[in-house]
Amino acid sequence: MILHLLTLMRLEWFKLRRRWFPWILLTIFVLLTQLIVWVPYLVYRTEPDVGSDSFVLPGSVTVVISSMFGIAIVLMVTLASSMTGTEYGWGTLRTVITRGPGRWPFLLAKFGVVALAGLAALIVAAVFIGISSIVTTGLAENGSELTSSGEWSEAVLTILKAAYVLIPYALLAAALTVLTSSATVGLAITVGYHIAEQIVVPILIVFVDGFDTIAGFTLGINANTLVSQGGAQEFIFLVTTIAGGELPGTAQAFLVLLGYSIVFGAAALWLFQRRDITGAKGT
Amino acid sequence: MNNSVIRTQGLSKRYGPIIAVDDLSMDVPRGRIFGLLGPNGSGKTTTLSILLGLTRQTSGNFTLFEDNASHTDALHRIGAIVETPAFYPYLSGRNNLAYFQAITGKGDRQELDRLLDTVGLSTRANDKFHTYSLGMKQRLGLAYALLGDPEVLILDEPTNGMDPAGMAEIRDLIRRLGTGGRTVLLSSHLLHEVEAVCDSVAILSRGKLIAQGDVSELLGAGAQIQFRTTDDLKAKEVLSSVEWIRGLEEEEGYLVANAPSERSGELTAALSGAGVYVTEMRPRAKTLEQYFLEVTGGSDGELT
Repeated sequence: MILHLLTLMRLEWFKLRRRWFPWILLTIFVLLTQLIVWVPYLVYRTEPDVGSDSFVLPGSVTVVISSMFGIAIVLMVTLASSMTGTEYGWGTLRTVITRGPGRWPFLLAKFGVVALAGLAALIVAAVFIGISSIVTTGLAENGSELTSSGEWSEAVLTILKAAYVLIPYALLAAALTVLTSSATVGLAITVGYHIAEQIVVPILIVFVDGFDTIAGFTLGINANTLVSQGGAQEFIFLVTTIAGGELPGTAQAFLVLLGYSIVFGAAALWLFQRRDITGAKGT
Repeated sequence: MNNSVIRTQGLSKRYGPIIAVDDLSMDVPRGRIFGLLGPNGSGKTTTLSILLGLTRQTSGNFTLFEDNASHTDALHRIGAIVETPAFYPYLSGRNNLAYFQAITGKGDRQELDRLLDTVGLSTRANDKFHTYSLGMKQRLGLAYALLGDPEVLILDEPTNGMDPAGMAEIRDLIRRLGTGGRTVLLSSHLLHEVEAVCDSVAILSRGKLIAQGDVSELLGAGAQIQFRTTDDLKAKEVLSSVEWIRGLEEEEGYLVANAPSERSGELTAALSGAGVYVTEMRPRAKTLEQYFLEVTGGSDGELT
């Protein structure tokens, strides 16, 4: 069973590498992370007081990845919806299932590859952040004197935590894509939920008594708790403090996200197992 | 000993108020080319989808191979294409086949070359699937179905979108594939295709099985007598009162009686007794089209 699953994952990876789409998503992510390195550097050149955390290693990796993880979520959701939904759109799901790989193993292999692709994208982005950080530090007038507040271990941990946070969002997108048999609808609902949660939850925390307790179990706040170093966490912390509540701890965030992953993953597998598979639908 | 490789019992599929497959009990004999014939919308593809695990039946059951293998294991012994074959548009024909070959872990590169050659796609094997014509897609679908040298081939409208020469070529290929103990289940709405290729046939109409058996038995070689007489008008009058003649029609200057050919002597005697003499007579088999119209009462005329 494990061997079969690994074979299917290798085949999913084979398909993923041969599409343009994931490479485009990766390029977008790398370019956006580069902005978080280069813009602060350019600002620093004129105003050295603003600090150098975004472009001095090893802290730059932590700062940039945690600042960009909201974008990473959107890109990850796009990838997960596309990987699942195009099988319906092209009608290839029927051709695959007829070959007898089993429905659960096929979808599980997709989950595995989406998670690996997320981690790989974060590592690639971190490598480019590292290269740019070396370049910017070298270009800065007093580059050799610049020190980072971060640690290498913290940078590695941030990458791993960000990759972990992406999983429930990818599984939610996959479940909605299976439910609707459409990559576009799965993507739209998941991104819509992600954005709506960022807006609605802080408002409800302020205006609804006791909502901060419920908020402590929402996907967005736990994701922010685990990864955010910058503005997002400070904002939520401020809102939560105004309402008299507290942010969830790291352990709670880890468990809550695990719970979401299990629920979304199980829902996707259950739906995938039960539903009839028809011919090509278009995306 | 039962020699069915596929057996359905009371298989039904409903989509809300629509009954796509209605209480279908059918046996596909091992080692034969079995036709599933019916007009569009008669439930052929739904039946095949149920057998292949793509669609869940509403009621009834089916068995594959009758050796208690799991459905997944059974699928590994079946090669199938359902409707227009769908492949990854950004992969070449060869890479598509390599991907599906790897799912079951059986076969090698030589098998791919051989299959691409068999279906006449060798020269376009490295082109992306999205550049293929419908006929080429069908050919790749056939190559896909043949991966792993399956015991059973399930082909749903395999000549759709092909030109006449390509259709003839594929029919010839299907006939060859049906030799050597392999079972072929061919679904088609083309009467002449089924008649030309299949040994046995099941006829579906509006989701129901209306006839099943060997093509030669169903068409009943000698089930009609074709003849000319000295007075066709009087002959019709005489024969209309003969009990064992189930029908009498005029076709292309001949009278055609629905009657077993072994009773042609009695027919001649009946006519001569009335002063009508037979000038020409021969037994005639029905075509599948005639048989289909007969069993459906002529109400299901969408077949071509």
